[in-house]
Amino acid sequence: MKKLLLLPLLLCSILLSQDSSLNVEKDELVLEVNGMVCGMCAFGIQEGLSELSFLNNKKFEEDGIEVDLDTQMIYIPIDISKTIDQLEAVQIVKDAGYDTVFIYTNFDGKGVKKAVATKLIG
Amino acid sequence: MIFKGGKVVWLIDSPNATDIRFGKTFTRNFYSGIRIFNHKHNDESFITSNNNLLIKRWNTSSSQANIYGLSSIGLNLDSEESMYSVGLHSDWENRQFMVMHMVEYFSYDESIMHNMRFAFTPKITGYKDVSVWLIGQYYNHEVDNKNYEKILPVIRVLNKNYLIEFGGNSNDTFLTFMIHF
Repeated sequence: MKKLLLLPLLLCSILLSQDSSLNVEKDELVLEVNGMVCGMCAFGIQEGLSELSFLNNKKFEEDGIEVDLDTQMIYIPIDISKTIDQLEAVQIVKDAGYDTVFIYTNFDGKGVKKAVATKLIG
Repeated sequence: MIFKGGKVVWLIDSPNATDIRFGKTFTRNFYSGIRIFNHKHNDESFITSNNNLLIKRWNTSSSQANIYGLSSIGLNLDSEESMYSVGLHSDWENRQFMVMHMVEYFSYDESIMHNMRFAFTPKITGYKDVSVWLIGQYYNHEVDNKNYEKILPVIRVLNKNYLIEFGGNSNDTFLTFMIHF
């Protein structure tokens, strides 16, 4: 019974935890994506994310987003005046054929929050 | 198969065939397009509607594996007879190595074509950089109990949505151009 009571707490701690190893700015959404092994893979994701309703495409030149293949991270600059629908970004990555595993945010500037993406999209 | 809504133009000139493809990925696991190709062993040409279905994809950190079902239906441009092809494509790749196997059956001459690749890049590059891969490619086209076998070294140059491959030996040449948009 005790184990059952602890389960929701454990899930919450996994779902939303602090991650200090990554630098995420207040106006960024960072996705950790599995399967992104080459430039052509990342191009498909970039093309999809360029249509995001809350993308701030003035922050990064040329591509709108930043891709780091070494760390499998995608940095999405966001327009904080708009509604930020994280699920929209995760769905675009899924439509491109890849899996978002974690979402990192720091909207309040108090530290990086790490969320399990599969909890959003199922 | 690329990203949902993405289109591809793909030109291949291999020792066994010249192949031109244009198509669109409609969902994350379904591609459909037009394919025009010529089989060199008998100089017969075809136009087909071809469909690729992503049967299973495994995405892990820094690697990916796929199994695709391939099919096409169309016409022999010389005899105007109908034809179809079915096939299976499987691959695994990470940022340094890639292996691939494709097998296709062609109804018009009951032939089977195998295409295998092993590739590696000596230098892992970032998203915006030009990536160069060295590929060993093996073809086997089995027609009327005869095997047309080819082994070719190929160099792949890749930058974002552009891909060029070229290779050859003393007898054969190989060239590919692909663009995603």
